[in-house]
Amino acid sequence: MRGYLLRRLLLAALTLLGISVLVAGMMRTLPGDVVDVLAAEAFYDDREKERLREELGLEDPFFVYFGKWLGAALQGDFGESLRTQRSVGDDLARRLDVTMELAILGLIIATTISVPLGILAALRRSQWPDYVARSIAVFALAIPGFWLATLAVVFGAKWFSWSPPLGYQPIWEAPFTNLQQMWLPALLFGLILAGVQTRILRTALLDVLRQDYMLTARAKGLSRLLLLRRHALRNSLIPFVTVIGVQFPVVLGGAVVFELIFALPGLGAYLLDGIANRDYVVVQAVNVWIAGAVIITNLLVDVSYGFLDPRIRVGA
Amino acid sequence: MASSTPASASAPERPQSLAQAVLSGGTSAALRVAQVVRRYPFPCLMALVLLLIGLGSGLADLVAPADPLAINPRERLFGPTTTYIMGTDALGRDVFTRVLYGGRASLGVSIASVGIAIGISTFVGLVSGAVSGWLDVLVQRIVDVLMAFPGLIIVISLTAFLGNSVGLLIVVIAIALLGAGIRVARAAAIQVSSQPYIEAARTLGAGQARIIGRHILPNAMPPILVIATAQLGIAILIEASVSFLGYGIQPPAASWGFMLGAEARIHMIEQPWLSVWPGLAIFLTVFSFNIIGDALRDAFDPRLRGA
Repeated sequence: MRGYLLRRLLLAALTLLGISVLVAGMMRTLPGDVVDVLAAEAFYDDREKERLREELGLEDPFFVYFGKWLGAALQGDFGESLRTQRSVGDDLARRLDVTMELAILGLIIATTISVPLGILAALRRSQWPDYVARSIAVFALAIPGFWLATLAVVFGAKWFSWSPPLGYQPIWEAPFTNLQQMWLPALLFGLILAGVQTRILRTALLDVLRQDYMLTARAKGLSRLLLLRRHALRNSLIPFVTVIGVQFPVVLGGAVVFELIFALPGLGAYLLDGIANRDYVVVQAVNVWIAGAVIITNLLVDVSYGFLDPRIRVGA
Repeated sequence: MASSTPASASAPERPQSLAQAVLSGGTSAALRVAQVVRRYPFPCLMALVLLLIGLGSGLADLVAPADPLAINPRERLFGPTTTYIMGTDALGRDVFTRVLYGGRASLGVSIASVGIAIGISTFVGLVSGAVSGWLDVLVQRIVDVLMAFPGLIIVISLTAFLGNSVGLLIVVIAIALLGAGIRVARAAAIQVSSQPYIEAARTLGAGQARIIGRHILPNAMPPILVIATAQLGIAILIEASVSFLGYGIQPPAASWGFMLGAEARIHMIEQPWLSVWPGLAIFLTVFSFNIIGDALRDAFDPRLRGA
């Protein structure tokens, strides 16, 4: 198990390095110069432009620039916002709470919906519960999240005179107000995510249910419930957990849109502010942080394989 | 998963799936179409819907009843009427016309980006799956990076700094789709590579390039086709989200995402229909792609029927 963990950890670090190079590289290869974009909007003169280029390290060759950035980032220093002069690392840490809360609540709601639905669909295959579950899943897959969220906000206000309390409250300080603000975005988010999860769980369960060992266990006289719990569900957990990991980039991408619509000050809102202010430092940092969050999630998923499946624990 | 074996690659003594029967010919074209429709009525219906959306959008210049940019301040924010079947927006432009033109933008961007993504991922995935060794290890690491790539977030970050270019939008969406594509193509190549006929071809002296191009590629096609269909839907959703946030296709040009964005939200209470039509168009298109993708998977691999 320790070898397995170590290997996974190494791979995760490698992936994070890769994505940082990719993000930094993409930002650097932008045609034209970021400083020119900034200057045009802030009316910098040539001397200020020169100073800014120096400060951002844009004069250096890419790998020198990247090395400096990485060195600072490893010490938790993601630079200062060009607009507010505040430490980007501190701002990010505060906003990560909001986004993670939304993502986690969304995933919990999605799982609460998809697990019973997926089980029902697989056990009653090709009967009406299956058709209903599958239809819900396909609908959820095709509905644009931002559309659903916009409709909910506007019609919530129009028909029920309902709107979330203004002014975001952190969950650690005012949990009740916080949940009043979060439940609707989390619910809609969860509904959207439940689509993929239901489908995967159903397919995975069907796959397990037709295995020979299921027949053996049944022949040995195991009750259906025990069979489902001990053999079928446990074995379909791997693809299910995998899909949660794979969904995570989508989850965080969706969070940007949901945060905008529900006016929540998370990473997504920070990114959009950064973009609106042409704040190069902020945008690059948010991208790397989000990629980092994705990679850590996938690492946790990989680690959970070790717990879920003894073969992986030993084999790797 | 072992269950994604391309059925068309397996032994002929197994009862033929309808897809195989159709592909191998032997019946008249009309009869074949009838067979497909009978076996897959709902997917066929959705294909028809998609065809209509595609034709309407593609031929928007000919079909659209009005000019998508023509402003008419006296007839603004109409609900559906006989003249304007989907009503008018805040500037008095015909919403139906704009939905058609918006479809051209959305479908165009998604088809182009999926085309690029599937082309590259088929090549990379097949080579990496068939050749294995250090190349495969390298590709797998690259796929790891691509899978962690928060597509939507990078798309808005880049378009924001680059100014909004449709070409860039297409390329970045394609990058966001690459990881999954390579993964599927590689898995298919590994599956096919273990088949006896590949060994037979190798014994006969076929080179690596020939084996990949002539033997692995055609047999690995079914799962690639399925993921391509699914990705068309995903690409539409990404493009729509980006345009919704205002960083995609730029006004006054129409796009489904943008029509749902600022344009509709401001006037949503006054004229709720504004936010219905483009959303419905996105939903129907993505829904159709998903249903067709499921049907394709079902047809290519009968073992998965209903899975």
